[in-house]
Amino acid sequence: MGSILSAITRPPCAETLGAEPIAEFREESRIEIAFHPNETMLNPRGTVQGGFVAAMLDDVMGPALVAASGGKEAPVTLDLTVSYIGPVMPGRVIGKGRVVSRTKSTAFLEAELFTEAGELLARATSTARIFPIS
Amino acid sequence: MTKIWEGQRSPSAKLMGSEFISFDEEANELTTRYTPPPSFASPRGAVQGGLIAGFLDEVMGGALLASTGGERLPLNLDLNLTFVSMVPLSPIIAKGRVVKAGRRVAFLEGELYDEGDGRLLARATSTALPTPVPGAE
Repeated sequence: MGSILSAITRPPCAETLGAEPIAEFREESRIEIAFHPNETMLNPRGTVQGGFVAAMLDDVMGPALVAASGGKEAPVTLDLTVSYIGPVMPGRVIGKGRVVSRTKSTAFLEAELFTEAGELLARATSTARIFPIS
Repeated sequence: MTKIWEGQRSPSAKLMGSEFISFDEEANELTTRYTPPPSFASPRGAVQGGLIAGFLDEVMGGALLASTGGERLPLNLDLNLTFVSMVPLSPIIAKGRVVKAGRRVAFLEGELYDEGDGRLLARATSTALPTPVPGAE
């Protein structure tokens, strides 16, 4: 499990978001990853810009599918719908992602972002195409 | 005096390498050029999906700002994205548009195009609350 999660955090986008794997629940197709949004991502209001919130949600739902497949498959997001519930501040936030359902080539994914205290900040769902990875 | 939607008005705009191109007052449409930094790359070497949202969020927000004469910024309630084509790590042209804005709610939409060949890369819509610009009256 450790090697799959560390492979997931290696791409630049994961570094940018400060992805930190927390836990994996493979039988339930769920994963938890913390992120560290920073001051370079702020909008004029001083909160983390919506696109970066979408990025964190995308970057925890994708790995849920990769981990559930034992590192054999990866998703390409076709659409992403985000609901913004509370302001996201720079610091550490907790992402929880899961595969809702899947066929051979398509998956429905979802994710939520929480403060460390457990308050819900944002939710997202997505439709993804599944590809094998070598 | 430079209008704020013509400059890099926030840290996130700066990070995305945002450059104002034009604002069409009749269509309430803002056009901006962005240069994705290498730190946005996915394992496939394209811009990661959620980070594509960043460019659309910026340009849609800028469209509301420009259409209200610099007085209103959107507080997004939702963002709905369609990823049509992979977004390469090269300059993109973004268009943001106010579909309709009232005092209490604004409906926004936007598209991203590859600057090189003009192909459509992604689309978005958003429901937002128009809020006063921080630091304004």
